[in-house]
Amino acid sequence: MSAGWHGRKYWEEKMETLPRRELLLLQDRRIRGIMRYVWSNSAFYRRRMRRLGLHPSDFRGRQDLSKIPVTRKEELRRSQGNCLAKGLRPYEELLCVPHRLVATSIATSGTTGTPVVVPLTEHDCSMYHGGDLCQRGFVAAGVMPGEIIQNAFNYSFWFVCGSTLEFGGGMPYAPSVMLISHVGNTPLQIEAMRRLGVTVFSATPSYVISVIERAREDGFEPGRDLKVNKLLVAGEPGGSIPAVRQRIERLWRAKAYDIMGMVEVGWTGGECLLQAGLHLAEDFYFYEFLDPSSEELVSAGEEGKMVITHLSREAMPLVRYDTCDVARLNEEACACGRTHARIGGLIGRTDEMLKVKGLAIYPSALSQSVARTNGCTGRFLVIVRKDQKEILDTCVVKVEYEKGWRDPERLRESLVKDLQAVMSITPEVQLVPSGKLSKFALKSVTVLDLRKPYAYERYKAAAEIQSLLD
Amino acid sequence: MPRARNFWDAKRERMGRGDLSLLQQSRLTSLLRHVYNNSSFYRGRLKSAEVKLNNFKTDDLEILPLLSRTELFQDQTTHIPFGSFTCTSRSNVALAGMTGYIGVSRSNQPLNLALTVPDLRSLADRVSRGMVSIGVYPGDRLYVMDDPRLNPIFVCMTRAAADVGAEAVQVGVSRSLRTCRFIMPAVPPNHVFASPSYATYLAGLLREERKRFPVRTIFGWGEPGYSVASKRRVIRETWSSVSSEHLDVFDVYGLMEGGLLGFECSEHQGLHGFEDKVIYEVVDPRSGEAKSIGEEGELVITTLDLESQPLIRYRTGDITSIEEERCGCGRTHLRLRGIKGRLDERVIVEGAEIFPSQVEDIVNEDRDLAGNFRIVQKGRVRMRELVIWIQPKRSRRSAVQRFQKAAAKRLGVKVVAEARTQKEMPDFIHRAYRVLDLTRRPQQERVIELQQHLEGLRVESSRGGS
Repeated sequence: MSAGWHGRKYWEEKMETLPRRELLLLQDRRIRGIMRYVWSNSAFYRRRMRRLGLHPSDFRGRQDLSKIPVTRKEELRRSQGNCLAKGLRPYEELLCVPHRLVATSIATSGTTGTPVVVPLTEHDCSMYHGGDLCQRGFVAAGVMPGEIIQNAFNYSFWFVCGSTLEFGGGMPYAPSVMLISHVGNTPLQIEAMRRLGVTVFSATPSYVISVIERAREDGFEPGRDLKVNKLLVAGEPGGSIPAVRQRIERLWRAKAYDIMGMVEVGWTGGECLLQAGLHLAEDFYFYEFLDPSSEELVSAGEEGKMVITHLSREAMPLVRYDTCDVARLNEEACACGRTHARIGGLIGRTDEMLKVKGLAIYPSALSQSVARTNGCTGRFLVIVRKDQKEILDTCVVKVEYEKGWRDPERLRESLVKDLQAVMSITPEVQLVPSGKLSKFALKSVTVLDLRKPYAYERYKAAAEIQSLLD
Repeated sequence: MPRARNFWDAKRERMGRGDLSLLQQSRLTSLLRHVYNNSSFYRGRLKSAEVKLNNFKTDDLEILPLLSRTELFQDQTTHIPFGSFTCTSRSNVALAGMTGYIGVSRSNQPLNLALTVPDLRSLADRVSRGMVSIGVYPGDRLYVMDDPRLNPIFVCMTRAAADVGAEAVQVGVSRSLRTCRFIMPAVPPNHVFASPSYATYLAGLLREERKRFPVRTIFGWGEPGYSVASKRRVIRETWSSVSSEHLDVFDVYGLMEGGLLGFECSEHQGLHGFEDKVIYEVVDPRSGEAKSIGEEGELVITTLDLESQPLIRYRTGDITSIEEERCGCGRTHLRLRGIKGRLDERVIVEGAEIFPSQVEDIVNEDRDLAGNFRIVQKGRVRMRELVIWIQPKRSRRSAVQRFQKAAAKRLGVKVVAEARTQKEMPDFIHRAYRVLDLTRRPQQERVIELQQHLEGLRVESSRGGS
């Protein structure tokens, strides 16, 4: 059954190459459908529409969607908090199906404090979080039947790509074997890769680099001992940055393709063999690009923050969800034949989120933890920079402690424990005597991101930084 | 719509033993045909055993040789990656995996696993039976707190739970503090699937949070812990202080390469098998000869429901005994009377075989001891006495002497107990390895380091996440 589509170009040819005009009509139709659906099933969106005096009949197509304001992550979190306070399930207001249809839930990493819990039905799992969208991405990147994909994302992210397999049979013909391996324990990753002859490796760009470096250190050469010929990278900008892509491709002697997805939303796009931008899935989502400050639609081809509307999700469809990712839309037809628009990779973020090793950190969440701890002055500074080899990110959290505090070592340990509960990575915490960070606190600087160009000049405190770095 | 029930598959689970053996018979015949046609490895074995495929009886199974993990491992080193015992082509494989736990696999011979979609369905069906038996109802929420890394079996749990009508949340085992503080209050679990070590560790963290959760069931595999009566008691006690419901602890048993093999029912009278899907035998670990019903020996399994990597007379390395009497719950399938331990964890002192689970039982009974302990060896020398490290909570000397006496009496060998502090003998977080070989100490310490690293208790080393 699989032999027939060796070398197949598309997963769903008709949909992926649908003429643009028809695609837009399809979007209009699905927008009408989803607005009726959330109106009759989601307490959250009905309330929002009522407040603005809107009715599903006001939404006739793409052009009408901007009548409803964007949905922010903060609002999801607030709704979740309200539901919990009433003793309801966290997603109660946003849930559009009966409880018994919720097949599983996933949670965002919770780096801002509270994770957002996302309920999924089986349909959602097999469409948005794996399944069709993922298969499209794999086929677009040229993954062949029988190839083994090693998925080294942490759990919440591998749920974004490839979870249908978990439901054992949502998909009659899986194009390729999936090996779920989770991030961490690099030697085991390498062992599995060698023993199984893995040809496709999928992880964040930083992790991809640290795996190959470790493999080389241990004497395994790509091409000879490792058979990987494709890398699917996601989770942080990098796959689409030419210098990073070149570095990855040179180290691995393999091709790197950028893919993207979000826990709240699902798989949102991936590159084709031409490596010319990430193809969106416009039949599953409606994408808008807004000016970050005015929230007006930007003109075609301009940079803007990506706002996404689900067109057919069941359990928790989001209408105009603010992803905070900045990107640029490209509607030109791609030489691969796909008609869906592309974006040229993620450019940055509109919120305060800081990405270290591909994992999100929110300074505000840190400041809550630090403020809560006895013995700390509440002042802290996150220093992010590249390591000596200019590849991996390192992150140090400097925390001021009160003069004459009895047991600084114990204070440090409890801080590490508290901070790791709100950060995705285990931070290196260093205590500094009180007063040392006061200059930064005056300017309310909590983050020094020395990976950015001209960082020293920008922070205008090079001398202080230097004294902290030593 | 799924509804609450006593059995997942009442027809199969309460089948008369006569019908059950007929079903086994026909499935075994088709299995042998399947492997003969699709696997050169098994074809060779069937030929050399001069098996007649047309008229094969379940009782004839003994003429087939026992299959060890080493043989499969060697087969996979010559036939990369899945081995010639795998009966399906690579493009039918949906999920791949590798046995072995964070780099420390049993006898260091990891197996590459290949599962097709029907395999995943069948494995999930076994899990569904177990879930219904321990009381997972539609609308319940179940936490899967084991490491999904490389292991396809845990992945089946989401499917199985969805079939039952429950919601499985793959929580994993890293960053437990985040789980306790943020995930558990938001989506509270009714059932927790975790290894005994991790369940104990988690209960400790939860107690500090001073909240109660509606947890009704703790179950898991990986260590013999849940079938050790005193360990079960300790876990029930620690969890009842963080649970708002009446709580019960269930043992389940399985292998990564063979799937779920047994589950308890509320009668707690041993682990129910799946005789329509697996043939269970107990043999003498040394001679390989069959043991009669009720006698203790090594469990040998033949899987009838896996198409990709079926196991035929596969030695599990686990010591148990079988009971065939019908259980009070109405299930007719045989029961395994608890898993005493793995053969490679067995320690021989003056000819007597001691398993860590026996020592664990004595340690947990003593309320002055923390549950942590090690059986200490120095290489593979013959031992005259059993050296056990224990961790007394308070007065060291009296506790050590009392334990020494109690252990010697129960185990029938000379016991030397030594007190150690938590620092000298750190707790295992995810899975316990109780036998400490002093000649291989660095490797064993690495296991703890890895567990602490995953937990975020240890800052990532410069070597990058190892």
